[in-house]
Amino acid sequence: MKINRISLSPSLNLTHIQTGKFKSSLVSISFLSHLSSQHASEHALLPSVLLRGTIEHPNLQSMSQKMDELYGSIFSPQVYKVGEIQLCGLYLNFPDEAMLPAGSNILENILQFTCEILQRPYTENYLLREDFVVSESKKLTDKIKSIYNNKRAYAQYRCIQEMCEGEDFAIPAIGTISGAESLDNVSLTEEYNSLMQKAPVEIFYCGSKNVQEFKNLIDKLKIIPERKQTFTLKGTEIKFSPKTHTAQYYEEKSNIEQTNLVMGYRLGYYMKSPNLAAIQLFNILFGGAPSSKLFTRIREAESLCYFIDSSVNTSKGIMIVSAGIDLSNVHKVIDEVDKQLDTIRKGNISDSEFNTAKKTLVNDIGIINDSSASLSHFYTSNAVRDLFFTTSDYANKVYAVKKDEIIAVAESIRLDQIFVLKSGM
Amino acid sequence: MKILDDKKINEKVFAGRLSCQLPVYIVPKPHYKSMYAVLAIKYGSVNRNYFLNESYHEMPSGIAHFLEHKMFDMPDGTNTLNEFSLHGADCNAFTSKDLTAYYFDATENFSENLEILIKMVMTPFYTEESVNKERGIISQEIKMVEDNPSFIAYQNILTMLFGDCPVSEPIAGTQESINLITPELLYRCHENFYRPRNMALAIVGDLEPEKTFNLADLYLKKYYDDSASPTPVPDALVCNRAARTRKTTEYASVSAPQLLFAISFTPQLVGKNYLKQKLTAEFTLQILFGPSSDFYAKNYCDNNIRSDFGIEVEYISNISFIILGGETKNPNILADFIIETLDSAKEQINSEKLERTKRAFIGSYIRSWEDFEEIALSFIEGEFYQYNPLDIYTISQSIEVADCLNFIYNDMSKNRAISILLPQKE
Repeated sequence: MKINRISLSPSLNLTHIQTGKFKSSLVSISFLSHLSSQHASEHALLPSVLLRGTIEHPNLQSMSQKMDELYGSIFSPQVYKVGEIQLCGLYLNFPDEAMLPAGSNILENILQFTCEILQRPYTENYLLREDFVVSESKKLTDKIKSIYNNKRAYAQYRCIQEMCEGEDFAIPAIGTISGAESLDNVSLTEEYNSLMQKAPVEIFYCGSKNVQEFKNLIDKLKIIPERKQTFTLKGTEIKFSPKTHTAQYYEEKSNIEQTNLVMGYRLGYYMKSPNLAAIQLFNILFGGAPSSKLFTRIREAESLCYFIDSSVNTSKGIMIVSAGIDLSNVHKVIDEVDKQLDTIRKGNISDSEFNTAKKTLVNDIGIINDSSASLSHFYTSNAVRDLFFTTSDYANKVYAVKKDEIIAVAESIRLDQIFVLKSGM
Repeated sequence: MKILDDKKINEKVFAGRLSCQLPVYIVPKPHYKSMYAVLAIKYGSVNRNYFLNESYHEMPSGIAHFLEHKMFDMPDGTNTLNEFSLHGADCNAFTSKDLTAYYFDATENFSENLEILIKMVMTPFYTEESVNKERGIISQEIKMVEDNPSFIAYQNILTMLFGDCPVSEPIAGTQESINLITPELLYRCHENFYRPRNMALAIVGDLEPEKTFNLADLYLKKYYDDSASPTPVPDALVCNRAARTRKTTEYASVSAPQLLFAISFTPQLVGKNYLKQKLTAEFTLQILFGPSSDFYAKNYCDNNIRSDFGIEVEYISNISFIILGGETKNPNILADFIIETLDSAKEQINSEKLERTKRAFIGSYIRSWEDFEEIALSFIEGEFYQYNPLDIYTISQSIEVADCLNFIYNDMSKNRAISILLPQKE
């Protein structure tokens, strides 16, 4: 795999992977903005509205027929966040040119259609069409509401909402119901113009074309219009300690049998000068794998929970522990989780645990290379934070982590918020 | 082993038969870390009744699924899920109407994990105690499934189309039927059906084909399946229904009304004919009801269908049907539209639309060759339905308008089923 990161113009960057490994090619185009309650919903909605129709293909049927002609290529809206940066744009998947008869010119045709979608949406009186906006915002509202159906995800979302109250991170990547309901085609068109003219853009490509060929096509087709000045991203605010000395506690009732316990932590002062590999390795050891302390001690040995795991977000500097338990065990589990964190602080990490964790994490990193979608997410999430390293670079960083770095991570972590979702509705 | 290859998509498949008579398919995928293996048995929920040595045997409904649950117990008291975990593999299994499959994916220890998989599937071990315990677990599973609105609608469809026939039975059985399952019956079913001639193994990953073949041969050496020994013949599915349209409407825990619409058709049972008919059916339905169709355009804009509107073509043993549906504002109006579209199929299907559909298929076919599970299961299905998945591309591009019209007017029957679910009143 040949990996290149280049700047096509100020605030228009490309991560390009040339490989013959995959049969389909992938292109991802993301417009970056700071996650804000004012505009999150508009940004989340925009890609779906653009995919409803262009001047040349003014409805879903002709859009779908065009994609059929492009060998069944996939054009999907793509909206997510990295810390407090919102990414909205398009995800394209199409057969690699090497798989098709000579002269198919698929990449150029795909990029031409992409240019049409981004720059020539079907409008009425210079505004994005009201019927498209109404229809898509209803779908977006339904999607936001559906998070409630997955109790585990909902409990995690609520814990973050409580813990990060007042911080932009609490805003969901796909916006809020009130945001979706209060926007209209006028405000959406304004945001469309704003993003096209001023938002930094990240492009990702993975396929058999070399970087010069790809760059030439982007330049020739002018997929992103020339911009005079783009806005500078604020970056993600990291809080180095919880608001209060003892953790906040919040309970909510829901129509469920099993209690969901979520514990939110700040990674703390370690984030002033973090080794990202050490933080991820700590997470594997603590609760991020079947070999971890939380899984083996709390689930297997004590049978105190149906599931338990931990995850870290190094952009925001937080950690979440999530467990499915019986209501009567809430405080017991909280104590046990604390105890396990303490064992790491005290350096109780056997060589076998440490090596197994390294092997697990290096394996997980290796698997990223097995899918172009994983590669896109890995490289784009890093690019947005001004980071660039290959998966093998990162694996080497993991191998180099020492036990005392893990201890330093553990010592810095502070419990900020406890959230319990229990039955009772 | 022989090599099947597709130069168009640059894939090579190594196909052979082990000395124990098990068919094996190995798909090398250089430079990938993941490795995937599936061992499948041509024994699903519909095969519960069978002929053997001239007598007819009836087994309780849900036995294939019960058997699948019990395979993870080993005679030494260990559970193989732990073994897989220790060797860095993720293992799982499923029972469908016409097969049972056990599979793992891993990034290391492939030979150890393959050995665990084979030993697990070929070693039956059932006790009164473990069977009773499993009965409790499966009983919970049945309850959970019976609460699921999608399950309710699908069951309604099967019962309307096929009546009192094993295909209409839930895969896991019922609370009553699982009470009839004993260790003795499980041993009998394992002995009759879990035998190399009735199974298939498919492996995908960065592996050396000869070495992998020899490894599998070694692990399965002692399970030689003599073709002379008596083989059970599952009862063919007999579903005598007077062909007409049947409809059920019921209330369920759904947030919006849902419609499922199905029609049975006369299946091509195996081989290239099966492949061609299946692809023809899929293309025909895409033209009539897919996202590029007039039906979709009209109903999507009227909010009669959402983006969850699905189209499937199903083959189970010797029966087959098409099924469409999803969430809808007005299920009765949508059902009428479906019927209207089918009635005007001759006007709807033309070569321009078919060519576009065939072109779109190329993308999804190419994508399928990147999904290890999809690749492996397509070779399992190919073994059980006697076709070569590598013929799919050529056959798909050879389909003509006459084939589509033949499917609608000759293969499809007058046996139709409509299942409507309405939200429970507050």
